[in-house]
Amino acid sequence: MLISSELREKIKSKIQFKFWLSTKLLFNKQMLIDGSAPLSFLGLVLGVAALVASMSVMRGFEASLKLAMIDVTSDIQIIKKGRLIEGWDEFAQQVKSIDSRIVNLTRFAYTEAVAARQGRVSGVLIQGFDFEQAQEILNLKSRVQQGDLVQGAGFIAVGTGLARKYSLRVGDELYLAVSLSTPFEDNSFKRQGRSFKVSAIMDFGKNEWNERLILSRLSDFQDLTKIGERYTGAFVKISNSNDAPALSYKIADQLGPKFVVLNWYEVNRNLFEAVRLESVVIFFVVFLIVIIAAFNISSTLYVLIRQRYKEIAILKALGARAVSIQRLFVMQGAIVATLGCLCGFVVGYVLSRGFMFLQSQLPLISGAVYKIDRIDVSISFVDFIIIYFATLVACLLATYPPARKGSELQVVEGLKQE
Amino acid sequence: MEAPYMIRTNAVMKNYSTGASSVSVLRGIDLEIEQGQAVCLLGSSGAGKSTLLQILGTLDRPTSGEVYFEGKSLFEKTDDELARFRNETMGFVFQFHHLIQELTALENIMLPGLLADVPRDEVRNRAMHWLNYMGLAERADHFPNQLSGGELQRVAIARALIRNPRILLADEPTGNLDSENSIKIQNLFFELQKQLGLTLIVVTHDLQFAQQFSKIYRMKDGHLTSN
Repeated sequence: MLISSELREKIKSKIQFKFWLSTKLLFNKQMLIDGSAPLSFLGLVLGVAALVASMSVMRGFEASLKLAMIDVTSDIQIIKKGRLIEGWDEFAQQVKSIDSRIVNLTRFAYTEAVAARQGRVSGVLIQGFDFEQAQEILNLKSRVQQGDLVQGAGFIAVGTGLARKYSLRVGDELYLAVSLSTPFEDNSFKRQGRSFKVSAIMDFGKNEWNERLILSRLSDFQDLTKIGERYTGAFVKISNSNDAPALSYKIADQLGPKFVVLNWYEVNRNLFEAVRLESVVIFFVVFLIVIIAAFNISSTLYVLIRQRYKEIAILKALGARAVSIQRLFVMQGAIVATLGCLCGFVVGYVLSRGFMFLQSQLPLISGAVYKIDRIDVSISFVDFIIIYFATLVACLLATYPPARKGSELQVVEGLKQE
Repeated sequence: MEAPYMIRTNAVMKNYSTGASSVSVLRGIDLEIEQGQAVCLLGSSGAGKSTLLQILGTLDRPTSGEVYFEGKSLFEKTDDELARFRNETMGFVFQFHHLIQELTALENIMLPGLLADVPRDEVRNRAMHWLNYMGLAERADHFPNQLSGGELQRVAIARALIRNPRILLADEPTGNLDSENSIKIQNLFFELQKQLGLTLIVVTHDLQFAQQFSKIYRMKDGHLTSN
């Protein structure tokens, strides 16, 4: 759209004038002393602060959760459908050449197994990989609760839930058995098992994993399951976790239909979608505070405009149109919304910091379900923009009825006010 | 017939209804005002002279009757058109100056120009010119509550002049002043009228002031008693 610079200049000076006049009429001593206006403003500030604080905690929760998940599942997992993959170096080269954002990858294999100890038997999931190489891709070290992850052959790491169930301590033995298909009988299997020593007890970040997941060395795994040098798939680390969805599609595209490529979001889709839904719900619930605050501002503005009848009449006598008067007060609403948001952002930030501080002092969040015992609050620029515009709209809608009423004032009525 | 008159009214009536009862403030006003004339509306309070001035100044609409400005009916215009008309054609001076307390003397004077979207610098220059003219240049940044009664009224007159109006309307402009300031303001009105060729319409109950006008309309109970 082309607007001549002259017109743009005119619009600019119009807005400047309205802004100037509305601030002059808005901020006067009487109004500030009066009490009701500052109080309704405070309501708005607190509403915005509550929004900022809750959004930053939710965002922080999501971010912490994401990190927690990536620690264990890596950014992207590649799994071959049905059959195992043979030959590692070649495959690793092939995947790495797909995109320069792929930093590193390591192979893994997994299988369902049965764990038995002291009369207890239950199903588990064994995941075998190269511990040394995996350190560059997964952040498992931070998950170790007891013991040491990197140990020689014959050692495994188990989740806290499993350790509790089997009363396992570091150094204890656990018998693991896998079922292998039998070459000559279709409807049968044979058991293959051995004892492993627990080298570490881990917190994997999800209850489900803590109860079931067992990590072993890939060589031990291959030995146990008799798969030779073959493996199930690979954990991939990329330079920026946020690229994972796009990159996972690219990898899937390149590798073809024989492979399943999952990014961290897909691996934990239910969880992240629940968190997102939750944050939307929380936004609207907390936003009610802002709406209530906007009602307060509306009623304050009715009083303010009532007190301003004389000025409205003067402006009209001097040639102001009704719509100009209306815009003047709507502009006040916009100024109040903007100031309210700025103050609210600051207060909200302070609240978030306070929450961080409390977290460091008190065990506010139990890491029982998700391995998150602290949330690093964070808020995105987009959240600020959303909160600002939502507040602005609420305030403008709240300002409109009193502004309209004020603009309809008859000049002679207003001039009678003294 | 209509051509020589700048303003002509035809049977202007104004009733105020309060619930069931209705009060007639103006009961059929017919008057003519020529371009550049100094006209006085004289009468005791309650005679309806302020109401008539407000109608002549398009601040209020008559209940019935017509007001013609240069042959065209004024009240056929919409409120917005009237606002524009006021801004471009008329300057108002009220008894209680009606300056905006939150604005400085200079800003008050600039207001009509700013409302008309005249560039700020231009309005500022014109406002300074009128402040100088009124001898109030050093008062430019004072707020109304820092000015004396006479000064306030001079600021109000400067505000009325900022848009180069053709008509200056004043409602008891000296009603709130001591006699010395009152005479100064009175002289100022006539000086401006002659210098700028303004049409001057002033409401007063001060007989001495009224006698200086070339045309006096006496009002009583909503009628013009003599012209």
